[in-house]
Amino acid sequence: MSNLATALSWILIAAGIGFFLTGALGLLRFPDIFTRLHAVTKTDTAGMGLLAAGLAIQAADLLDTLLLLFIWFLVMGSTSISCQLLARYSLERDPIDEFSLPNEQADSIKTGISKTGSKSAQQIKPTRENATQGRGDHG
Amino acid sequence: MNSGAFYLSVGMAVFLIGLHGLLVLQDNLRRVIAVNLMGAGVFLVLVALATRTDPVDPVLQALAVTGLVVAISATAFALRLVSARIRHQQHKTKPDDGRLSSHKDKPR
Amino acid sequence: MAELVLDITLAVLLLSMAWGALHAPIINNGIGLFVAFGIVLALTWARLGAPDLALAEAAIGAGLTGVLLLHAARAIPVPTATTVMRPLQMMPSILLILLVLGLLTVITSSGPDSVFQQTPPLPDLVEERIADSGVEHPVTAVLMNFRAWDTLLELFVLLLALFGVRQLFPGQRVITRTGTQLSAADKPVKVQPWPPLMAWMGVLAPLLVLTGGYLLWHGSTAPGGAFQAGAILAAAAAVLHLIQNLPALRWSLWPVRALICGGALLFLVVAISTAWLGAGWLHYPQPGNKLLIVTIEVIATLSIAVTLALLVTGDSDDFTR
Repeated sequence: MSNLATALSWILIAAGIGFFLTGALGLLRFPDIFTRLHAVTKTDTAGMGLLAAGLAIQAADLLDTLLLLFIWFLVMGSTSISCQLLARYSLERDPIDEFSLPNEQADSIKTGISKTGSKSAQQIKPTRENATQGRGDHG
Repeated sequence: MNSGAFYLSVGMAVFLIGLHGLLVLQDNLRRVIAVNLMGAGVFLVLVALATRTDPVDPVLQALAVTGLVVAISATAFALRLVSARIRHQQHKTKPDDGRLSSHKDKPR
Repeated sequence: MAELVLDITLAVLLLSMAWGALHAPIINNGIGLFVAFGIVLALTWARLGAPDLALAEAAIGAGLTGVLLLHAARAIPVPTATTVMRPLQMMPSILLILLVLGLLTVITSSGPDSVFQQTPPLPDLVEERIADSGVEHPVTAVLMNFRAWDTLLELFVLLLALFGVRQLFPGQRVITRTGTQLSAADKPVKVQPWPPLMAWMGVLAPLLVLTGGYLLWHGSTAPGGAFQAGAILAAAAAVLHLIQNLPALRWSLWPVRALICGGALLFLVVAISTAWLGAGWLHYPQPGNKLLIVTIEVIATLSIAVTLALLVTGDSDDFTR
């Protein structure tokens, strides 16, 4: 493998690792579950793509490259779906209370929700009839 | 210290962390996690010892695979026991849940 | 040098996540850390040259155990019992750990008959006899032929765990006029699954079945085998259960019972017939040993898959009757 290819591969891998580290930093430092999910999933899929590209340059043959692309596709799908599931679950458990937000944010949330027609944020309260469900922290 | 010996110590440390959790914690679910950690430590010791020979020792690795499946069987049973105990304790504190109406006191 | 960095990183991750899994104040965080510990442990197995174990650990140790733990954590009532302890309370235990760890490290790693100077005789024996075993991959040969007795007992342990779990209902039963019924608090909440989730699981579940079949078939020449394949098929069942697309798994259906008991019973029948009619207990007949191993592996995979699926997703009878 030529030096240029190796160097390019390592640059891509380093960039991917940089994305992962940034996502981890966001996970630790952001205040809310939604901001944390946003940070982690976006950076993880980007980092995974860069990592897969960097490793594909060093891969032994075409089959390995295709496998890496396939892994990236699967991870991307699973990460996005999991992120959406967690966000919806958190939104159902405690809906965003528009009265606790500054006025312009509250208005934008109210109009945003009524535009998309999703009623879940405003009407579903945590009325779990079974008090036995574990309420671990969602943060 | 070669890498096998290093992972041997790591395995012993994980086993001891699990043992510490088993001794110190009171929550049953955490104790099940602690026992699983002890198992993971033992597997680390086994596989670290498997790196002694040049083609890695397949017998120790096979033992670890067997142990892993046994561990999940025991964990499934233990977790069912733990959640049954928790629900039983809750049920005892709510005595009027699901009584047959014929058992309630009739007005005289 | 790079290997040293990798080893130290893995060790730091393993130890810190093990500690965090036990001492995180919120139980779900602890379970998340334990699942992450399982995944880093799978990386460690890959580092130590044990790919079969890495596959099994990722599927069973991280995946299925995480599902079991999260399901059990739902039973814990609000508010969760805090397990945060003051460091001073834990000090005797921590000192004991450090002392024992130091002693063990010194004993096992140094000295002329330290455990690392000894050369075990078994790998050479396996190397010599692997041509007669019927498969080419050493770990599969050990699992299915040389130590088949362990695998037979392991299938029975799985069966015993299932029998134990069947003694306990997943929730509180209350007595009604017509019999017993699951109490209202423990009935599973029916939620309409989210359509993109159903679509994505529709992509994942066939891939999981394909991967399971591939691992089972490839186990004779490459890392893989019955346990890994069975665990991945059980994961496919769990995935389908999440979108409520799994056909009801009930012990009362005879195909389910046949699949669950089939693996252990087939293996037992093979063992007894080799003992009575053949060369000895679990001594496979020489020309037919590959066929025998493959048959046992296929039935064992299905058995392990259905047993683990029943353990993880629960018997559907318990929730509807």
